Amino acid sequence: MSSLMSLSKHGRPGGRVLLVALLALLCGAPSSPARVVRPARIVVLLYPEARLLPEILAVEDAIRPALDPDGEVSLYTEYLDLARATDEQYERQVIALLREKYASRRVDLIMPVAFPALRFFLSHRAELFPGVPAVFCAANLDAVAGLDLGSDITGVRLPSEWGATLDAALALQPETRRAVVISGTSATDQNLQAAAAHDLARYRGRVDIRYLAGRPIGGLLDEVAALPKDTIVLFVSLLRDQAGRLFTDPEAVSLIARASSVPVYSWSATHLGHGIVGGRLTSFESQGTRAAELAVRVLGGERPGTLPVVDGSGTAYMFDQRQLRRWGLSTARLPAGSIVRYQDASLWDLYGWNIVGAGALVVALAVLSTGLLIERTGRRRAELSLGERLRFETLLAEQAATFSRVSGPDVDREIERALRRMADFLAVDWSTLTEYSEDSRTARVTHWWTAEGMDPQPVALGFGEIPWTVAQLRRGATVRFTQVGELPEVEAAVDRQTYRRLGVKSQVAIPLTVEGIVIGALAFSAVAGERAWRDEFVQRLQLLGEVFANTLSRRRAEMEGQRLRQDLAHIGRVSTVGELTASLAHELNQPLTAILANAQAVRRILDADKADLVEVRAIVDDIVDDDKRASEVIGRLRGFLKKGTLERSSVDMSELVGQVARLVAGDAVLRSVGIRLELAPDLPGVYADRVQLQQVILNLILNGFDAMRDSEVGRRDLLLRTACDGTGSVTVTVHDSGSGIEWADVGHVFDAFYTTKADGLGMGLAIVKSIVEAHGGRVEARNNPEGGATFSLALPTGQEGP
Amino acid sequence: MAPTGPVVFVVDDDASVRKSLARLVKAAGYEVEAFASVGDFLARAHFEGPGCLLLDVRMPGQTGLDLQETLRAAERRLSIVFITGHGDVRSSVTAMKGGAVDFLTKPLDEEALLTAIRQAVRRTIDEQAEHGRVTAVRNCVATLTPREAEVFALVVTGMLNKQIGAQLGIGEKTVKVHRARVMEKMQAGSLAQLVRLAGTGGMIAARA
Repeated sequence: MSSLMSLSKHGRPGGRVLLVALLALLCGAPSSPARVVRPARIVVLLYPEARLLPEILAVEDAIRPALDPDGEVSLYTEYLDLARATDEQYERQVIALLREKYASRRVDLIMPVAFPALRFFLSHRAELFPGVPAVFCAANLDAVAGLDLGSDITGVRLPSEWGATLDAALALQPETRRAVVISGTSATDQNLQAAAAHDLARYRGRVDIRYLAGRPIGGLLDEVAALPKDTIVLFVSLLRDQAGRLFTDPEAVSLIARASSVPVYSWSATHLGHGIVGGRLTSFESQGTRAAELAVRVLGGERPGTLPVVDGSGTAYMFDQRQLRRWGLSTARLPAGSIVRYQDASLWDLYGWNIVGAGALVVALAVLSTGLLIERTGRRRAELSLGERLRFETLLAEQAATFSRVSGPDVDREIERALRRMADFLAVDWSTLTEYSEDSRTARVTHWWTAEGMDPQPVALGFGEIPWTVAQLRRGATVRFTQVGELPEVEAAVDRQTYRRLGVKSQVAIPLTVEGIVIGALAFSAVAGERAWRDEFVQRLQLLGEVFANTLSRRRAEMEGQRLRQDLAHIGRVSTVGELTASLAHELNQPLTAILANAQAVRRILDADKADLVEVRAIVDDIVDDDKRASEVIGRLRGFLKKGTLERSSVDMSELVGQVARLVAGDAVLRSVGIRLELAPDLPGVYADRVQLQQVILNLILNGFDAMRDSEVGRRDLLLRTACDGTGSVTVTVHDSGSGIEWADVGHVFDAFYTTKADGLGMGLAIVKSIVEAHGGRVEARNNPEGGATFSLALPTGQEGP
Repeated sequence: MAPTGPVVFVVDDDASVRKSLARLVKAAGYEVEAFASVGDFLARAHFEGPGCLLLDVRMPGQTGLDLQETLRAAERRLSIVFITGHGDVRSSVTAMKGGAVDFLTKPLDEEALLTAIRQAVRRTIDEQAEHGRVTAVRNCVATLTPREAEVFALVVTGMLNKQIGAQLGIGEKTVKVHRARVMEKMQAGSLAQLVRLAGTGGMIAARA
């Protein structure tokens, strides 16, 4: 079924296949009661959902023909709709309905499919189907404790092989440090998520695993779109989101895979072809087949108790060639025996996924074939043209792939490169990318390219100079002319004048649209001579426009994110200053006390008959030193409060950690905390913003202090350690002997506004994470075996920032 | 070692503060000894002369309040002037309840500091003198026989010899002899003086 769905979904010309498959499905419907001469055996299939999910179809496709070869079995199906069931009332109604329905029927076998259906059956069995044997199927029991199946139930367990999937992912992407696990809120989602957590527990410490369970789809998509490069997505199940929206797995997996900034892995073969890279995938057909075998034996008189539960079967390493290519993953690194599907991926697949809908592709294909049919010149000419098209498409595909990869400062370089290559290919003289301000009042040419020997093009063109063109683009329309004279004489009078003045003979300008808003335009102009723009090229340029638009909007989001981070860091600093006041007062008080006492002493000495001038000199020297010490304290505070833009330089983390430790020394005394430093000498430099990293270390130390608030005095130890891990990263660990992290908080300690402290803002660790990640590093939190927690961060070394 | 004048012991972990305070106190005419920690001070030989402690409240390791407790437990009489970077109510209350002379906030006002030191030194001297008196009386009490001690305890409550004899089951004459011995051993010239001595030595017994 999954391949069928993928055909229709991605707009391949599969209409006929679809029709045939649908017919086949319809013909396989339950046999007509008229044919049944003697009472048939009744088998009831219990499904947890109310929808024809691909998994359910796969199971039923396997069970139905195996159970009912001669029409002697009457197969009933009950869709319990447990995804929707949020109250007991609903479950009572379902029970009442089933009891009524089966009161007069002698049921021979129950087949609960998936764990929620099994749980429902076990809970209400005595009431609904007393004494009826059962064969379950596709139920994951890995994370189910204390389940008593009883003596007349057997079945097939759904395997959970997340370990194998993660191992395969780590082999494909050795740089992976983090995994995000996605699941929904339905009973099935929760069951599978628990099983995944059970499987993945042993990766703690190796991969930072975060569970995004039960979020609304919108937020979830935003979140997966912004995942850092060293992350992978593990898709578990999302039949219902937090807002109660229902999905089928392929729908959800497609949405996630399309939005995700990193590869997505999964566990079910039904997800393959919907955007996942692959994994150790389970076949529901196989589940159904094995369950049907057991069912046949039970119907044949064997007691279920004598048939052992089948432990997981039908899994295989399966991957999607298109996805491997999309993410630049090497098939050489796949586990032995992997099945690689979709090997015949076309160029369309390469860039069609995330940038264009199926509709646009169908149109584009139609245009292409029509173009071929009506080609008037000879065969040789047509072939050349085909080659040209192919080159153009390859170029587009490469651009799409490039832009899906690059971020940050690379974007500008790639945009310029793309403009040059497109201009080369189209043989135009100028290519320009214009970005509109967010209020769409002003425009700025952000990137341009001018062919060799051509006059430089204007890089600032007011909206008023080409009002008609801008109005068209803002409406989302493409502007195209071979001669300026084609433009409307009256409405575009100003535009005509401007183009003539600039010497623009022909132009094609494509609006860049993101979610219906025009954020800029891409223009190609011919100056040296007039030229025509063929439809098919314009069509493809529009595709390129979408790629650019996506790239630009992503970059805007990145810049916005960076601004936000700086603000956050500033807020963080100011709020930390409040916490530090006591400590700073102490730090300032010491030199001030010494200065005053020294001055008073010197006055007394001078009042005496015989002043010892050597002593006086020594005292005055001390006064000067203490004054310096006081201004250093103030200087540190000021440097700390400065809200600057990033100023990156090579930073010695040992030195920096030492500095911050001195800054909080007073605070440590106040809180009776002993700070121990284990700072590695001669660490390689980290290319980073010093002030921000001071903030990071400070926040981690203060966090440690807070964690030890309730620890016994004398057992409040904070260990700060720096090290070089030999893989090009410097690590800093902050080890406290406090209360540790609650299990429930482990996944969230770095979330903004997530706090376990009554008086905390929940910003400290969020700031830590955002700063460290902005430096291309990563943070981690874990509990120590001997109590307390260790927060660690790793920062890449070297001169080049990420 | 026989110090000529009162000694002020400065205990502060901050080197600049310690040094400058020592200078000021010295310039004001006191002998000064400075220590970087409570441990260093305790390692010094017992000091029984006139003087006082100028003590920082918060220090790594044992705090000033810990030292105050240690000295009290050891019945060492050395008055304390506390100094602190920030006056927090709780520790100042603890310090004053523990018998501190003053609790001063850094930076220190010269007059307040020297006044506090003067008072502290005076109190140390008074307490040491008081302790000397008590010790003397206790030494005298220690020379009394059990019977004399009984008689002493009853005499100072104002009982007549006759009543004392009746209570102890001995003759009035015997009481008289014991009483004379008590007056002699306690070096008391009058009954009033004997009663005062009994108060000093903590000897006033409740009437049975």
